[in-house]
Amino acid sequence: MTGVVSRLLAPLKASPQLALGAAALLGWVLLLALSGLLQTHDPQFGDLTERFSPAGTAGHLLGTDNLGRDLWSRVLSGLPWSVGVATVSCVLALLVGGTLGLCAAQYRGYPRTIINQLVDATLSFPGLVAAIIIVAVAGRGFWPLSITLGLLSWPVFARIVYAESLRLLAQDYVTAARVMAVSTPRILLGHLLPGLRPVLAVVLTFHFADMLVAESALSFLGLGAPLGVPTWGALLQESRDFLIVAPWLMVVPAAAIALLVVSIHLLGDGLSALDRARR
Amino acid sequence: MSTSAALLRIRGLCVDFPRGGRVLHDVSLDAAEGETVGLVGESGAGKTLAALAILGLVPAPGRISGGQVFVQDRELTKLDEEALRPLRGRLAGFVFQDPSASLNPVRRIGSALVESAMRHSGLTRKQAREGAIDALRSVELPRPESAMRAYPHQFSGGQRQRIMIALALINRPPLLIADEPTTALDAAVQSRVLELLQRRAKRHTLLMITHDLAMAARFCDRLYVMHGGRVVEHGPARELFSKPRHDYTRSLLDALPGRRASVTTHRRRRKTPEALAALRGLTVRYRGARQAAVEEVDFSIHANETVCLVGESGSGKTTIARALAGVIRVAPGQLRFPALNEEDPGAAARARHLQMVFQDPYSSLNPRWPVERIVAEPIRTHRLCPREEQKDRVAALLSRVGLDPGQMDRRPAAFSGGQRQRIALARALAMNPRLLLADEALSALDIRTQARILALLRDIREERKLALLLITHDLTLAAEAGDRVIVLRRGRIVEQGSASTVMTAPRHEYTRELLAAQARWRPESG
Repeated sequence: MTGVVSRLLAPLKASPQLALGAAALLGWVLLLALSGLLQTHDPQFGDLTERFSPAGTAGHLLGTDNLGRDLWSRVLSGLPWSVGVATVSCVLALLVGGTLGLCAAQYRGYPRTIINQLVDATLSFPGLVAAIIIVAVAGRGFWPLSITLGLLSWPVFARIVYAESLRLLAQDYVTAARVMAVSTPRILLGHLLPGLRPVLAVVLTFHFADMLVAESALSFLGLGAPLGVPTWGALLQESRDFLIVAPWLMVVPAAAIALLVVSIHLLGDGLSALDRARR
Repeated sequence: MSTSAALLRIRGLCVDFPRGGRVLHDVSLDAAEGETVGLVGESGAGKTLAALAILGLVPAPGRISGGQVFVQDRELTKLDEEALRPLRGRLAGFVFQDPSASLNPVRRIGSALVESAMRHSGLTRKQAREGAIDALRSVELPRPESAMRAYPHQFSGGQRQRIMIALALINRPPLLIADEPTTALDAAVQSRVLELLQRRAKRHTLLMITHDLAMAARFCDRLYVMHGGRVVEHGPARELFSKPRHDYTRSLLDALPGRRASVTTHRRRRKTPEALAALRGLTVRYRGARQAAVEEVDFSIHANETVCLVGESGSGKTTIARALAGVIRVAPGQLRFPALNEEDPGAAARARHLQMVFQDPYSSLNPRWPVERIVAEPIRTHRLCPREEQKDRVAALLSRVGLDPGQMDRRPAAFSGGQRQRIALARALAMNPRLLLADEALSALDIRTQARILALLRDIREERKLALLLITHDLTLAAEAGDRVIVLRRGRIVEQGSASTVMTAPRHEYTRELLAAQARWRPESG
C-alpha cells in the first residue's frame, strides 16, 4: 500500500510545479464536492436589509449583491455548473477531434482530405456567432451549452492529434511493428495513444480553462445558463450594473475564474515538464 | 614543437558539471599557425566540449574549473562574457556537424553572411556584401551572386556545409574549428568538402574534431586522441597511426573496417537451391516523383549468405528494404519469396520469414516501453509461446545478444546506442526469421561498437543459418562483411559480384569512384 502511495507521489516530488497544481486542483475538487455544505446562506434568497454589504462584512465573507444574496454561497453554487460545462465540452471535443485526427493521420487519401476540410470549415466559422445561433435554436441549458462548446472546439484536438500522430507514425518503432505484422488497431492502441498522452494532457488543461472562460462569456451574453443559475459568467453579467457601487460583485467571480484557470495551467505545465524529464 | 609559435594553446583545461562531476580532465593541446590538428575520439569523449570551451561556450550549467586557453597569446580564460563576445567571431570560426541545423532556414544565405561580416568588422553593407560574395566564391560555390538570394533548403548537404565554412571564415579568423564537418555527408561529397577544407586550411589553423581516425590520420598534421574526457595520446598523425602507444588508440585502430581482427568466415558456400527472397525487375515510384526510386532491380538472397547493398543516400537502398519488408507495396510478381511456397504470403507469414533492424536505434524502440515489452511485442502479437514462458523467452533473447536480462524492466533511454541496437536485434530474432535485413544498422554507431555488433550479427547468422541483407553506404564495411556486394546508383544496380571481386576489380566507373572517394581519406590498410 505504501508502495503504491509513494509511486504516485514520486512525480509530485520531482516537480514542485506539478505538486502545486495538484494541490490546487485537490482544493477545487473538495470545494466542488462540498459546495452544498459550505454554502452559508441560500444562494437564491437574500436579506434586503443587508444589500450591498462589501466583502469582509461579518457573516458575508465575500459581501452581498443588490438583493442581499451572499456572494460566497452564490459563487459556490455556480461552481458545479461552470466546471460541469467545461468538463463535458472538453470530453466531447477530445472524443470527436481525437478520433477524427487519428483517422486523418492513419488513412491517407479521401478520409484525410475530408477531415482536414471539415476542420478548416469549422475553424473558419466565428465560434461565438455559431454558438449564439445554436443556443438560439436549441435553447438554453446545461446540455445544449456543453454540446455547443464541444462541437465548436473539436478542431483544436483534431489538428493536434493529427500532427502528433503523423510524427509518431513515421517513427521507426511503428514501422518495425508493421514489419512484425502487428495489426493496425494494436499499433494505434499500443504505440500511438501512449505517445499522444503527454501532448493531450497539456492541451486538455489549457482547453478546459478556455471552456471555462467560454461558458462565462456565453452566460455573460445571456446565452448560457438558464435564468437564475448563478454560474460565474452570469454573476459577472449581473455585476455590470453595480460596478461603481459594488465592485466586489465583479472582482469575486472574476478572481474565481482566474484562480481555477491558473490552477489548471499549473497542472498542465507540471505534466509537460514531467514528460520532458521522463524522456 | 615550439609552444611560443602556437596560435592556440590549451593548458590543463578542466570542465565540471554540477551533477556530472568533472567531464574534462586536464586537457592540454597546441596548434601552431597554419597547422591542422585533429581531435579524435568516440562520441562522449569530450571532443566537442573541449572545442566549445576554447571560446568560453561551455553549455550551462557546466563551467571551466581550471586551466588556461590562449589564442594568439591572449588568455581567453581570464576574460568575462562581455569581453569575450566580440572576440569570438574574430578569433575563431565554427563549422558544425549538421549544416541544415546550423543555418537559419528562414534567412537568405546572403543576409546571414552580411550580418556576420558587419557585426565584427564594422564594414559598410556594400563592402560586407562584396566580402560575402568573395567568401562564397572561395568555398567554390557555383554562382555566388545568385546563391546570396537563396535559402538554405535550396542547397544540397555538401553545399550547405560549404556555406557554413564561408560563414565561419568571413571574418578571416586565424583559427577554424570544424566539429565532425563531414559526418552527415555522403562519401563522395565528404571527400570534396575535405579537399576544400584542406585548401583553405593552409591559410588558417584548423582544429578538426572527428570520430573517424582513419580520415583524421590522412587529413591532419598532428592528432590528439581523447577518451573519457582526457587526452590519452598525441603526436604526429602518421606516427600515431603506425605506432600507437596507448591501448585505447590501438583498439580504435583495430576496429577500422578492413583492419579488424579477421573472424573466420567461409566465403565459399554452397548456395541452397531455393532463394529466400527474389526480386525480379523491382520498380518503385513514389507518388509525385519524376524519377523512380528503384528501377528494374534483380537479385535474390539465399540462406546462409550475407548480401551487402551499397550506395549513397538516395540510391534506393532503403526503398528496397522497405519493399522487402512489406512497408511499401509493390506490383505483383516483382517480389517473391520462393521458400514460402506461396504465391502471395500474408503479412504474418512474411513477418516470420523476414525481419528488420533499423538505422536509428533511438527511434526504432518505443521510448515509453520497457525492454521486456519491446522484445515481447512480436511474441505476443503472433502468440509464439504461452504467456508464462514469455519472460524466459525474452531473457534468453537478451542474453543471446549480449545484454543482461536483469535489465529488461528498464526503458530504452537507459541504454547506449550499441545496446539499443542489440535490443532491436533481439526483437527481430524473436520471430525466428530466416532472412534478416539490417538497414544501415551499423552506421549510427561508433567504430568499436560497430565492430562488436557486426561480429554478433555474424555469429548469429552462422548459428541460425540466416540470410543477412546488410544495407550500407560504406563500401569497405560491405566488402568486409558481405559474401556478395551489390552496388546501387540512382535506383539501379550498377555492379554486383563477390565482395573480393568488387573491391579489387570493380568494373563499373561509379564503383571505382566510390572506392576512390573512400580510400582517399583512409590510410593504406595495414
